[in-house]
Amino acid sequence: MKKYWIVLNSLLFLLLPCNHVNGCGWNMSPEEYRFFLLQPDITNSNGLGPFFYSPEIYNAYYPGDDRMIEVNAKEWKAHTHYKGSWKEIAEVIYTLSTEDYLNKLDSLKKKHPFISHLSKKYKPELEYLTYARKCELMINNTDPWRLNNDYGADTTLVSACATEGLKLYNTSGNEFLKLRTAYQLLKLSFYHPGFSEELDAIYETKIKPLSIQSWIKASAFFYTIQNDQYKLSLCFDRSIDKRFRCVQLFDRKNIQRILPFAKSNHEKAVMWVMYELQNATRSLSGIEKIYNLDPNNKDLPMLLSREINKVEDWLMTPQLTGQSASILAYSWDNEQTEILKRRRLSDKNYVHALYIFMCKVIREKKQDDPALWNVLASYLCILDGNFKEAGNHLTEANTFKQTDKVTFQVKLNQLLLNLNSAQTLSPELEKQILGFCDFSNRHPDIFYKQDIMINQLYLYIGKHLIHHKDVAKGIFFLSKTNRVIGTISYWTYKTFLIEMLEHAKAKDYDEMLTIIDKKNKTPFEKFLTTRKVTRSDYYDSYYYEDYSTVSDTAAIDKNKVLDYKSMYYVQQDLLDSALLTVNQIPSSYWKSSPYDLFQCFPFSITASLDHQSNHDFYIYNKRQYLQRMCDIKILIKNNIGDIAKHYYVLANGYFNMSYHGNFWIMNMPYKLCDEVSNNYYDIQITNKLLANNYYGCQLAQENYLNAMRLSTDTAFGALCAARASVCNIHLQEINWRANNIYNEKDYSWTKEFKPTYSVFENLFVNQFKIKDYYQDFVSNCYNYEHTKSNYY
Amino acid sequence: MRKIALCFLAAILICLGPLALKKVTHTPKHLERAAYFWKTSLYEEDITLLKKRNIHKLYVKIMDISWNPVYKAYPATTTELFKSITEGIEVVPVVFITNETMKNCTEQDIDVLAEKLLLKAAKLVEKFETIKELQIDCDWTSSTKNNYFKLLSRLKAASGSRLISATIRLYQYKHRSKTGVPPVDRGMLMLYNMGQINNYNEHNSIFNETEAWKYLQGTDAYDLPLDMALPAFDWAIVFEQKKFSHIIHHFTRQMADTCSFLVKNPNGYYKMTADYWSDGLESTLYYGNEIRIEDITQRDLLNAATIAEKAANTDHFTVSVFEINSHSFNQLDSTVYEKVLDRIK
Repeated sequence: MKKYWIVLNSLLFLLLPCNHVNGCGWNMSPEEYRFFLLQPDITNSNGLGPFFYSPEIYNAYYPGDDRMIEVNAKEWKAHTHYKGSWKEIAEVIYTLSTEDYLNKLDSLKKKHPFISHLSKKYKPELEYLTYARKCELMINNTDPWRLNNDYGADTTLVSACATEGLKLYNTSGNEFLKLRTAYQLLKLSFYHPGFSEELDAIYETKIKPLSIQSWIKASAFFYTIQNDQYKLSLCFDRSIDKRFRCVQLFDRKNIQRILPFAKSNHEKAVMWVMYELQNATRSLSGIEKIYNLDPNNKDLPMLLSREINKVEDWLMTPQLTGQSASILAYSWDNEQTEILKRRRLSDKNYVHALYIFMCKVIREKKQDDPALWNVLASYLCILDGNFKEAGNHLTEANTFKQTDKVTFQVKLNQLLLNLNSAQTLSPELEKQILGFCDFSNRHPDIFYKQDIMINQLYLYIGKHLIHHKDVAKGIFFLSKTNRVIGTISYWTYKTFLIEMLEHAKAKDYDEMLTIIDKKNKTPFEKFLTTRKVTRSDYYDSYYYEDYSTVSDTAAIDKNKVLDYKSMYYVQQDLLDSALLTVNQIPSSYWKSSPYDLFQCFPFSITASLDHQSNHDFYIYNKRQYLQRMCDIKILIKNNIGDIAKHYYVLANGYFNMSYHGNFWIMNMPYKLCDEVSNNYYDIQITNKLLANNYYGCQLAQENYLNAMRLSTDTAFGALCAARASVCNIHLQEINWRANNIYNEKDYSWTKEFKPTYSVFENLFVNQFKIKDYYQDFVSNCYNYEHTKSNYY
Repeated sequence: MRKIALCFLAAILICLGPLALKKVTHTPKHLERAAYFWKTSLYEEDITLLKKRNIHKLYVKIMDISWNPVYKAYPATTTELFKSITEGIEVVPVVFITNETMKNCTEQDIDVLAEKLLLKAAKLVEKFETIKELQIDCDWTSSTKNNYFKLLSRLKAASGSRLISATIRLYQYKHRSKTGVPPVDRGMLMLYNMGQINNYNEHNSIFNETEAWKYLQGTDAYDLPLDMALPAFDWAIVFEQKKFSHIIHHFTRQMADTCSFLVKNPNGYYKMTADYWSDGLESTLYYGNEIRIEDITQRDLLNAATIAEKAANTDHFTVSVFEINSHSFNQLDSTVYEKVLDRIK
């Protein structure tokens, strides 16, 4: 019979708390939790956005070849003497869809200022634009009818398009149009060979001889390369729209075979730049090579900032998010992945080596933009903890002319420096934070993804303050960020509320509540207690709140803070204080999510290892629950009524507020549905009190044993011994978790969990002097249920 | 003499009486049940649903022909039809052509289009040679009728014994003197889409009985044997600040009534109380957007049947519902469906 009891319990063991999902779903992309505060686009390396450091092969957040849009539009503006903005030209060339352009050209001639200008004064140019649009369709599309069962082009249309282009080229009266028409012919020939001249012929006879200077020439050169690695490096160096593609096609592994083709040190350096842009591991040695070969190399600042972004990821991502460095989440080529695995990424020596190199570059003054180099160096010093040098570099940076981006990063570095130097918030620092955020709000487009930067900053400041014991303000900062602030398991992330529960003490809660309640808040307090919720937060963030109830500007909810404060007290078994805390929360709070999921009566237990119930007849909320727990304690203390029964009900109450009970949210918000039984959650065993009571049901066990000790009723005594034994199984399990580790290679624990059942049977036998009764009792479900129903 | 006259009159009445009676006696019509399928992928489940309704004829859109200046007329979307899926069902492929296409085509383009259209249809429909009818759907106007009718004539000439049918919208039915009668074998009268979908004040652009009758008033029988297409579909029209924004499919009144982010206005429109996005809606709905649900009630369908009965000009024709992939069709009770058919008979 005991076997059945175990099987039954094993089945019931599956009934773990699964009601409210905190934040579980698909794994987050590593780019979404990667930490960085040095903005990768600080170096204005247009065209290389996809090569900004990222755990993924290409950084999808930054655009590629967009500088060409402006350059081309400006060439058109100059050629056509257009007085409007270049952006209007860009709109015609790049924004309007081909369908719209071709179908609405007549109305565009009247409505669009640039097209109108062309239709009046530059008809051949407008004719070319229309032709270019047709070519776009030809190049990108296959025959829409597909009558030949293939995906080839409609030969009639392509042939007609090539003929039209040739005619246009021959009749073009200026090089501006000749170059562009030849460029279209070149692309047409590249994508649909055989309908016009060969690629080289078009380039050599129709493009190269033209004297006009244009970005198109280098771009056209790309179409003649045909995987010639040396030419690829030339094109990478000269073009503005094909840089990304050139690196993509560059054969990194064979660089030693490619290098001999270089005709100068500059050309060698360009090859090394392409090589390092594909390097996810440490690049300093390559960067040094580039500098030695070509000290004024234009891509060196980008490579250096990319290196700093790597260091940030390796050092800071684990520290701030609880994840491994984001780069480890993604498979690069095998060789690089192996290097990443072998090397201790968080090696500060590397940071220092990078800094030494940067100092050399600054000292030798061979690179342009000393302000940029100094701001990069200062950031590296901050990462290295060398605040004095960081300050010196910032002072130095301020003596040079700066781009808007550098100025912005200088402000950010200064803020980080002051924060790290002061450790806690001073009024000056608060003012500086406000000033910085205000500056960012007023200039939202200096960096490409500025909102990410601000959210990273909130995360950084929040964690910094918590680390330096300013928990209340730290939590406020964490509440403002939409970045990952901590990790529960592979795919579950912490909310700021969980961080609060893990770090805040009573005084921290009180400080938060004081700030929330304060009527005349300082500007900084207002800033702390509000949070702008963006549309992206709504739809794709890992911010696990019920966004249907969040307005545009959300503040930390006072009742939530009180609720978590009560959990903090419950975890300490300070139920009186918890009761006083929840008494400040209005009843309506207990009817909303997640408490609408706890329709339970918390003073009864079924014959199982775990007790889950819902839709019970008597529903308690936290306030009522705590009130009854405190009342029982008073009855026991004053020896009023049936004390054994009081202990039993109290024990049930303690059991149900444990991880295994039906009202676990007394102690803890939802984290996982299997945190005890799984092998990936790092259970907080260091907090012994919490571990023993929440996971191990120790308080429940003690009170069941008290109940048994004071009882003379054999059935009741057996019930209490059985319940205490169940609690003890949980205690055994948590102790087992504390002393064993899961080996992911073998998929096994160092020692499997083998619980001892009926630990308190002997205690029962000694007290009641009846053998066999206990086993009969626990194996008889009816007896068990009938007995326990009389005691709550 | 008076007696003679009366007797003569009586004799005439006796002779003509049966004829007159014959004229007013209702002759039961032979109706063929059919449905439309207007999505891009036809599955066996769709056919099973049809067979449950005892429907053995299916009009399936196989192509949308659009226009752009480079490709000229070209198929923007296509659907392949496999015999294995449509076993036991008579399939009528339907080609939708935008009026824009007809507006822009030259005579030469029409010839090319007719040729490619048939070749493409043969590629898309397995065993195209066994297909008895091909239907062309175009919202042609008086200005595009010449091109359109030329295309239809070319298709007819190239199709041999295969029937060519064309859809007829209500205004084309009413204003036939301007829009002409297409040179095809049969017409499919569409008894829906009679309102202005983008008008905020429109009640139901799919079907409005009063409006429908207006199109039939004062008209003679159409000069082309007609089949009837009845509405059985629904959609939700999203308005932003009372301006048409977009259509959502598969969003029913029942769903709207149970959505926490919608409140029903006194005018019957649903108003968004929060921003909302979901895969199913395929769009984002913003706070303040208003949604007009347009659907077809059983009463609407019966009323449409009455109109169809009036417009019918032969005793043997097809009654098709549009379309099987809609909530309205799925909800269509078989008793009601039979009543609808009875009403047309």
